[in-house]
Amino acid sequence: MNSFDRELPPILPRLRRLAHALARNRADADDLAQATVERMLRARDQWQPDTRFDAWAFRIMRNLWIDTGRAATRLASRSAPADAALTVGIDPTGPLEQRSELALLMRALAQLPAEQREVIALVTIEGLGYAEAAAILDVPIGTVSSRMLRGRQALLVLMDAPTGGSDDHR
Amino acid sequence: MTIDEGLLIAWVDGELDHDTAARVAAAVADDPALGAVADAHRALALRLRAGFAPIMAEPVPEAIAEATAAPIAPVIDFESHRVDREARVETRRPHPPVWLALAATLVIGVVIGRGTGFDVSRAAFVDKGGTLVASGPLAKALDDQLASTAGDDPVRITLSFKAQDGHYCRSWALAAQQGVACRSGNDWRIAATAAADDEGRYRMAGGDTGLMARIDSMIAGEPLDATQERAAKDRHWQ
Repeated sequence: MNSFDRELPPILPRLRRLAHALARNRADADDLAQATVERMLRARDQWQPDTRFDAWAFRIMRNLWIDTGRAATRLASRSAPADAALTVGIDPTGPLEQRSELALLMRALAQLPAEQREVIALVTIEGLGYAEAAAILDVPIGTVSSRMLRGRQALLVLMDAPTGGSDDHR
Repeated sequence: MTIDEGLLIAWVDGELDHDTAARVAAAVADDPALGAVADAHRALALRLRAGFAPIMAEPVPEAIAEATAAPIAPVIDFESHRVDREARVETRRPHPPVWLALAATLVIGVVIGRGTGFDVSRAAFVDKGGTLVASGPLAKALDDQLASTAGDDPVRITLSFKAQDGHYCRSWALAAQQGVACRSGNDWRIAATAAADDEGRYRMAGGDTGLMARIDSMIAGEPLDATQERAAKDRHWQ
């Protein structure tokens, strides 16, 4: 068993957690995690064993997520108003799950611009340092700081609403 | 020095160098308004971490497991990311929650207490209809001992908390093992255990980090304080 095969299984829970922080719902999150694992396996020779496996995996996931998001945005712009994706009614998860804390947090994160969401996902949820996140995202560390500020301010406002948005429509 | 919100967030995130962090800490101590902003961001960060923590304890879906060429380890390995965090533990203030550090310090007492010749771990569990429940001294400690007043008993109760499913759970530490048990009727169902390493030590950065991650994923809110713990005990943990 080489080092890739040793590194991969233990990181799967973290990949799923990051995927949940990025994706709009749990089904999309596991699709993203699966697609990431498949791409990692195809690109396994590109990982250098003396570098961080998690950073490599996160970068692959983030790039896949960005690509998928662009495709979805193009589709949505042809078929629906721009804010339709924010309504919770299209979330295929069950009603119980929608009331959970995790679902509430996912809905709040999904309302942030992608560049703020990815910074919060990597630093606040996944526990990376600003410099590590900057390296994964290929941006200067100051950009991470400013996106973190705007994203966290927006989340404080969003999550101050007692029910996280969806139940306001009753 | 002007303290703006971005600097406060960086401080809460443990991203400032020592001197800058000290200046921000002093400014926050002097200005309740700044303190309130810092508290709000700290609470937000903790809520996000806690909200996503249960995913770490979920089984990996089969489709993902099957996509990997390697067999999936039956036990989720929490160490890979914890190691990164341990390396930064001095600068990343908000991340290991306070209660985790508290548990770690309590566990130190167990290591010191080794060598008393009393090994309760052998008789700690029994199989009851397919469920592993605490027995003997462990069950008694889970029933009666308060984490807040832990003495030098062979079983140390390290934390009491309410799980997300509403049951009370308590973590314990023995000489060579620690674990979590949750109230189930009048029994304590063993929810997780972890062994000490070969030298009988627990990893000190967070007790056993694997077990702490597990507790992190189970806990609803904060661990019980001394008053709540005593009240729960008086209700026989129901």
